[in-house]
Amino acid sequence: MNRKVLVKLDNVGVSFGKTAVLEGIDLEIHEREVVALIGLNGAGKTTLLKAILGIYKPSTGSVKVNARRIGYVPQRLNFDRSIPITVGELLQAYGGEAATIKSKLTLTGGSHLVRKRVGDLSSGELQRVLLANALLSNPELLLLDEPMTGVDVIGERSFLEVIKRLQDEQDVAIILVSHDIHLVYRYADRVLCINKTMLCQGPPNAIIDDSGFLELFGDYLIPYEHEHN
Amino acid sequence: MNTSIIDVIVEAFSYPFFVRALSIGGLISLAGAVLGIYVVLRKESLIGHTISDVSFLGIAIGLALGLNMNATTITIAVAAAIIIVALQNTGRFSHDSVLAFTAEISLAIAIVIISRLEGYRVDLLQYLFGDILGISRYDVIVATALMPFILLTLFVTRKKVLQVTFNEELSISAGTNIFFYNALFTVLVAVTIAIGIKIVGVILMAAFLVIPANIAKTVARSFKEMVLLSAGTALLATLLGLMLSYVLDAPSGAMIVMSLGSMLFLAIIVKGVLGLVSRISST
Repeated sequence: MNRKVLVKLDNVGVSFGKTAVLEGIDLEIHEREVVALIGLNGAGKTTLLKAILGIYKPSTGSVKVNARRIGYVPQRLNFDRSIPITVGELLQAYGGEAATIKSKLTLTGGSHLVRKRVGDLSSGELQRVLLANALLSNPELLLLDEPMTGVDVIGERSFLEVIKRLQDEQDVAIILVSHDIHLVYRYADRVLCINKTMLCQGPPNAIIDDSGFLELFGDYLIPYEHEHN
Repeated sequence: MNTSIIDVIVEAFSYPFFVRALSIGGLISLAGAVLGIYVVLRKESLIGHTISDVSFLGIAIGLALGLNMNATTITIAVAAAIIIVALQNTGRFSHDSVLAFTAEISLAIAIVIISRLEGYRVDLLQYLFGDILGISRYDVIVATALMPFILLTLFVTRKKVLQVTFNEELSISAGTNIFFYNALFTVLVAVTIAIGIKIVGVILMAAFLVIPANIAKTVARSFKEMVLLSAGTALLATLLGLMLSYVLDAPSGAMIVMSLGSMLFLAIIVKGVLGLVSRISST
């Protein structure tokens, strides 16, 4: 593969005090690649994203990021909901011009929210705003940490459409943390499954028989049923 | 004798000390109120007292070594600001704990230094409330030179400072150097307080940093409204407090704080009434 390497992790470990959350992670993310990161709660998925972002410093190994612009949608955003700041003002603080803010909010289905206070947004509305924020700089790499948390079914469908459009129309690589294995199979070029260490990685179709994958998700794989008329 | 309010105002403005107090007090209140917005949103309201105590240490060191007090105060305050942000950045201590123990340690060292100085007695009332009506020409020069510089620096960096105030992780992902902007902001607050406490005292300086921003936060619907309301209430309270101080012959710093307190009370009542009206009209 000759595509540019945007992220390269060599033997990365992250510890908090004496507790190791990640150990020996080797990983490359290439441009225009959609990578799904799966694992059970507490497996270290969010920690891995934050190590790539530079929020957590690795205790071992090295993280190299070649992407010039990175967009990030956190799973949960801790902020003071009583801050009287509107969506438009928040996106301006992250460097957005009025026209860019409008177009990114339109893309994520949040154009009606521009004058609303950020503290008054529902979880689904907040996710749309955060995705618009992540897209402001036209990122080369987009990190989405369970972006569908708190989004209703209709919202989830449009959210996925946005991801699909980004994948099709823009040269953006995406790392998507998800619990939804069906979603992963539909959108990802490659799947990484972690549980403190890297258990398996490969294309979605190949990974289903991987022993690491089965060890992690074997009990959770329920056959997908659909009705015929 | 029947003297109208206008006569009293005209009389007050005829005294140079009153005009100096109003202009320099107004400038300090404006800087305090605008910086205070971020102080309150960062949940660091304690910083006013912390830097005031650190500045007191600067005064003590200046006295002990026979150095220029303004220079030592500002130097010590800036150094403390950087140490505070560095300690907060380690993640070992909560932000308010760092502010609290820095204040206590600084005050303790300052008291020990001053207790060793022969023939010097600290005027506690001056330390607490300053002497806004006794502003010297030197204070005027320092405040008029530095306050606009502080406000201009904050204006230029306002978007980044707002980013790190709102959420540090999102700021890092946007490529913002959060240590730099946290340190820069804390240094701006430290310099403002170091200059301000000599003129308006610890209590009024801390009040300028916390009360106008909370008045604004209570009623504002956007960040822009919060900035304008915070600055406006600080200036209005300074004018009102000085006028009341002149008319009632009461301590000026305390009258300004009382004016701010009344406005905060009013803002809470207005917000409560508006909320009640909106609930009734929606049912």
